[in-house]
Amino acid sequence: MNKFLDRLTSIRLAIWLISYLLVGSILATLIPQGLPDVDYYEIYPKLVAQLVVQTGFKGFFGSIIFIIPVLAFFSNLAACTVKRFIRELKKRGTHHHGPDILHIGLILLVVGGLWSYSGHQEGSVTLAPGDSVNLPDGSVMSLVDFTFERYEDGRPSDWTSIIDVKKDGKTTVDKAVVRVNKPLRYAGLTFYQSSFSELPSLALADKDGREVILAQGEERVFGSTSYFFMAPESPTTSGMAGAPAGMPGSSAAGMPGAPATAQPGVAGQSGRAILRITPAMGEAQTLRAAPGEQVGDLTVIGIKAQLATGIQAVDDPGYPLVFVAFLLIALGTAVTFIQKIKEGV
Amino acid sequence: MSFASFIATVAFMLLVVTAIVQVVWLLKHGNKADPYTHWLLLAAAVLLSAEMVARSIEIGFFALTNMYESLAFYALAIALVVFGYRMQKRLAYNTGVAFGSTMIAIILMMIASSPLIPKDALPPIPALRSNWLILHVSFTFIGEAFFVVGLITAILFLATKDEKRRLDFDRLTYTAIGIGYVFFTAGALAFGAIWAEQAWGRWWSWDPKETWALVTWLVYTVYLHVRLIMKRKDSLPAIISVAGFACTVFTFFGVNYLLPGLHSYG
Repeated sequence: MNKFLDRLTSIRLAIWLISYLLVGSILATLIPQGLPDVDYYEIYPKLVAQLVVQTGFKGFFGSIIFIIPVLAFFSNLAACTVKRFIRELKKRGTHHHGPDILHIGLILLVVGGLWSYSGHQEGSVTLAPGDSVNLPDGSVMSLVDFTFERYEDGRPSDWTSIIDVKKDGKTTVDKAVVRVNKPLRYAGLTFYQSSFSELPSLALADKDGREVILAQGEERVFGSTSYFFMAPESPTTSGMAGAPAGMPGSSAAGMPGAPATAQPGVAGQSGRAILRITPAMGEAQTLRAAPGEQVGDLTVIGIKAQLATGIQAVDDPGYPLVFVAFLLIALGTAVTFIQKIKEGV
Repeated sequence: MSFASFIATVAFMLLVVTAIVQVVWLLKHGNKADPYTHWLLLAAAVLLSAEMVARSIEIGFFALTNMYESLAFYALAIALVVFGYRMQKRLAYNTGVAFGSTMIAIILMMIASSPLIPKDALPPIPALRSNWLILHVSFTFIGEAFFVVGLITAILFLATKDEKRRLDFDRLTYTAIGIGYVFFTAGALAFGAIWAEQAWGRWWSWDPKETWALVTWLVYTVYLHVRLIMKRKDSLPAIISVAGFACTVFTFFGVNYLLPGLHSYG
């Protein structure tokens, strides 16, 4: 038993494990990760490709060839920490707990990392101003406003979503500003400004000339008729154009953080809208209407681009532990070094 | 030429003059500490700081968000570390260490001035507008500035056969890496992870830059364990120190140009 403990707490084992993780990590940055198996056979000789695919190296950081050594390192570290901590407590004079703080931080980091890896969930939603989405706790999140600003040279300078959250009719979050690097934390979730897009919307006018806006995929009733804006007509397609709002590829989407790219918006469309109108006492009709044409009681003004925000909701149960772990690691290294300096090393 | 570029050029010239004086002094007086060059290094650091302040005012944010600014800050940190090394009394001073470190600061400034590195002072894109990013970058480079000293002392350790001098270089290497490790751990790992969580919703993505920062940290972790726990004072710790610095270079330059990822902007 003592022999086992000695081996488990050996510094040589720690160094071998660290060296293995080190070499594995380096190789994982050089060998493309997560490709389909067939791609590895195209890139590498057969033997290398087989090795990469069959050992799980194509997804190194989620594979057992990474996780098992990490768990072995975790055991070695935990055993060393306990052994060292007891030794320090028994020691007379000054106690040196800097390395203990650092090692406890590392242990928490492994636990938090695995928790985060297994429990991380995320989802995205595209919202235009006025749109709402239900949250898992029963709250309703609404986008009050969204702005996208650029520098003079065209690079993005800011994306800002103004968000309200209501629960049981009461406002729980009032006009919170969500922007890149300023997420909203609410009900155990973190909401990020993750993307933006320009959604096509159909502008119509009623008999009095008042403008009515229908977002793509939105259905509303005016008078006794229901209007559903399906999509702008594309010159290259005769049927449905685009995808439902909020779905990937629905419009000119951009990623905050990435350099600005040209945004095609709704330019290049024919200008006609595909919409379905359903009178109260009649059958639904699918129409293609150009600006100036009458559809039901309304007149088509044209297709406009409406800015929409992409909000990403993330649930990462391991992060608070990871945060504490990093603080302990930073504190532990600092305390260790200060102690060494005091000793005159 | 803008005011910021002008003072950066003067700072570069001061670094070159420092290196020349160090070499002349080294040849004439051997290892005796020279009375001038640390003040020249301080002056260069002050000028580089002034350049960063001028750029920061111009872009309305801390000027530490692109490759040029990172290189200038790195050179500034090295100049300050060498100045601090000259001013302290605890460790033996060696002009060769100061010269080697100054040369690396000069190389960094030369890379910064190359036409391949854009020098425009541009306000950062939203993902880079974060105080955590500034802590992440500044602490990482301060740590790496100490690793530069650790590299030079390790090379001098490997180059000398005199036992007493080897012990001095070993102690210098250990001290430089010990201090650098504190800053690097906080900057590259802790602050970097906190920033990533705030910006992207993932505190770790196994992005090549992150992985290489971890590799660098692991190499220096091995160094500290080999040197501190195993108490090795032979060539092995010095070789690990050289390998660690090679990792910092690859993390900074190699990953940016060879392995694209989340950090491909800087």
